[in-house]
Amino acid sequence: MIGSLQNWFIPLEANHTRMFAVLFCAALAVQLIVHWRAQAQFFQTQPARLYGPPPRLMGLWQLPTLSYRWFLVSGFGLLIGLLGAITGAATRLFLLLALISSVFYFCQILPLSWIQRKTNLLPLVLLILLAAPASAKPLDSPTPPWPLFLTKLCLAQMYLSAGLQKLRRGGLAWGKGETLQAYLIDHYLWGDTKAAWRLAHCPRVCRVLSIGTLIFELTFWAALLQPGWTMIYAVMGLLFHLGASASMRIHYLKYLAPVYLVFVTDAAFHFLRLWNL
Amino acid sequence: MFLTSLFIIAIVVQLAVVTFHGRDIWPFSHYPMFSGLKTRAEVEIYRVALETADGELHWWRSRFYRYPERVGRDWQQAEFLGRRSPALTLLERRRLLAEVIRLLQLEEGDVSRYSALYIVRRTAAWRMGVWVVNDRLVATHKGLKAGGSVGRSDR
Repeated sequence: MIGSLQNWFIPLEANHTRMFAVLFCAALAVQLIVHWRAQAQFFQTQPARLYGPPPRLMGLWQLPTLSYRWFLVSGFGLLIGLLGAITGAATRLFLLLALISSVFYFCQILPLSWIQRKTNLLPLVLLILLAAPASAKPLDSPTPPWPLFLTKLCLAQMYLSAGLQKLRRGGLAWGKGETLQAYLIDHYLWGDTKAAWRLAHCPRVCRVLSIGTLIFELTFWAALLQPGWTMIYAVMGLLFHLGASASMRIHYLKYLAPVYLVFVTDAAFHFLRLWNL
Repeated sequence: MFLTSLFIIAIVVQLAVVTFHGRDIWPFSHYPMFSGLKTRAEVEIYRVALETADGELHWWRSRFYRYPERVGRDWQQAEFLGRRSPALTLLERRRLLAEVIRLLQLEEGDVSRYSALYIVRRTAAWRMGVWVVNDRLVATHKGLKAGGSVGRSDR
């Protein structure tokens, strides 16, 4: 473990942090633009009337309920920050703008189905990239990979915590499959999702999926220690979220996909070399 | 290097705190979704149905599909609390109905085409290898008016 931690600070031959920053900011900007209108319309429904006010930042500072104008301003600030960070000019200044804007923007529309906790990692990743000097350095400069390890750790915590809460509240009984069946039917009763209805009628499949879910969530962190397992877990994660999306309309990948790009920096460099860029 | 290490430690500690204490400190979260143990004996929700002027009945489907779910869960909570405090429950129900009408008006522009709003208690139970769904009307509200006001309500 200590040997692995030392690897966080040993420079790699290329700047994977900068590569991830570009990929992440580009992907997040695209998602923001694609969902801009729907998110603005959701804001106008005044979700605070049903869900209460925005949360406290770090449990301490009550985030304000913005007017529509300031909500749009925070959204534009986020978009400009992301696009500016891609250009390479004043990168960390733009990342700071994106970070602050993301906090004010997403907290206004947290109850939206594809936001909720699905955007929790975004300000964390922006904070990590902001704190990393490598974010502003050229792609060919050797820089330590600790920002990527820390991002992967945040992802691992998401899954590990989800798994631990299941064990804490339900014990190993959660893996029997009945709970998953009940959640699927719950979703069917709400939203008439046929896939959920069909899956809920397969107790053995639900049992396998429940056990698989627990194993995946509780062991994702192992990918940090065994680089050879990283892509396996990344693919498992994508399949996991695609399944949840298809069966229960839980669209985690809309805003988690940009974070998942932390696993493809090697491929991105390979692509650049292929095209002699 | 020292500041970087401090930063990393701060993030790691915060992640550990929310994970092992089981609480959210936004944006850090312990991600408790779907962690509750559920039984196949009975799954219960409350859902809003709408009746048009020509007698057609359909579920309320908001384009922001969590809204019907939220209203239903709050209604379920109100039903539970109703055993101790009927007055508060009545206020809560009227608030939820007003919110439904408000959201309907925002999304569809006109609620006059609806003559009534129903609260349906939907249950599902696992019986001999099949899920059996049962719907029971628990409340009727006639006379939807623009502006979020609630017309006559029957239980």
